[in-house]
Amino acid sequence: MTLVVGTILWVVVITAAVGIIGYALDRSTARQERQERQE
Amino acid sequence: MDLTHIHLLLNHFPTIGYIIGGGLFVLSLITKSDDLKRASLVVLLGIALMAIPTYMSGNGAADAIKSLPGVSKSLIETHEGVALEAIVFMLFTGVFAWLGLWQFRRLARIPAWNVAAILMLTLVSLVLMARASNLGGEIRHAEIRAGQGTVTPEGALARTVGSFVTDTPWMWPTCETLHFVGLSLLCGVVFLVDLRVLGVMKGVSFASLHRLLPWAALGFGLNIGTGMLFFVGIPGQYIHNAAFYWKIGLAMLAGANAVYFTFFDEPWFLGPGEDAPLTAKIAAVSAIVLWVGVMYCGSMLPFLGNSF
Repeated sequence: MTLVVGTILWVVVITAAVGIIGYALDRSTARQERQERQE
Repeated sequence: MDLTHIHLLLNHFPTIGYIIGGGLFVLSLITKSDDLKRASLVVLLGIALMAIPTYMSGNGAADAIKSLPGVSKSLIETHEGVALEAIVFMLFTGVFAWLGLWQFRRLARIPAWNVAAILMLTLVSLVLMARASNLGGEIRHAEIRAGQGTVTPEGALARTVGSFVTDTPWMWPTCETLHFVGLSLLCGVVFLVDLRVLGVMKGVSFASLHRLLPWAALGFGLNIGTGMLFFVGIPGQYIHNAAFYWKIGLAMLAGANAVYFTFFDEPWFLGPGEDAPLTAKIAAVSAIVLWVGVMYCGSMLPFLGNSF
């Protein structure tokens, strides 16, 4: 894997993974907060 | 005092700290005590942070004793490899412990999946760290390695990872880029929260900004992960660098400072238009100073020290 391709690929993959984890965590917590407010 | 002294000073904390933190966490589940649960998570997080200088000072200690008679280089490398495995699990435990504190603040409980994750990670960390400690003891205590070979199955894991980091053309620039992505996430969120506490954007409640903190934790995790890879790659350029000691020291203090905004009640009840109490403002100012200090020392590694 060349320097440019490897760098771009892994930066995109890991940044996307961090984004997905952060988004999923935010959504699930917000959903649970809503549920608790309704109860 | 040099890195050998620091390593000898710190190296018992991870094992004993995780016995105490993990034990308190189990006890909190048995007694259903929320206060004990939160206290145990603070212990697990604090010890995970302390494991970073413990690991890093080990390279300095190895440097000091590797030429002494009776010291096995392969045993030092095996100890380093198992310690690397242990610190990875400890850092993940620290991340989930912090997340537990954050979830407790928002939901008044910790979801079952996170309780299970913390228990599993603590147990694995403890087993690995106990093994790393024992191997570390064997380096200078011939009496406890009697009848055993000095080479264990892990071999030189840390050196293998280190060679991959330095020999793979895209690895170092990828880690550098991700280190800056992590820094942007971390400082972007932390400064936003700190500025609100200091009176900027008064119309926004603290709880709204508190919701963003996991993004800062993810950024911190990205920075720790890539930072550890740099260190494992070329430890020699960091262990004799004063700017690096300052950077790690300030990052530990800043990490501990972050607990204030998840653990203590004062900032949490800060509603729209309200002014924060003095202690919260002091915590916010110190966080900004500490993170700017971390960035300054990181940037000055080649100039104040001998890196790169």
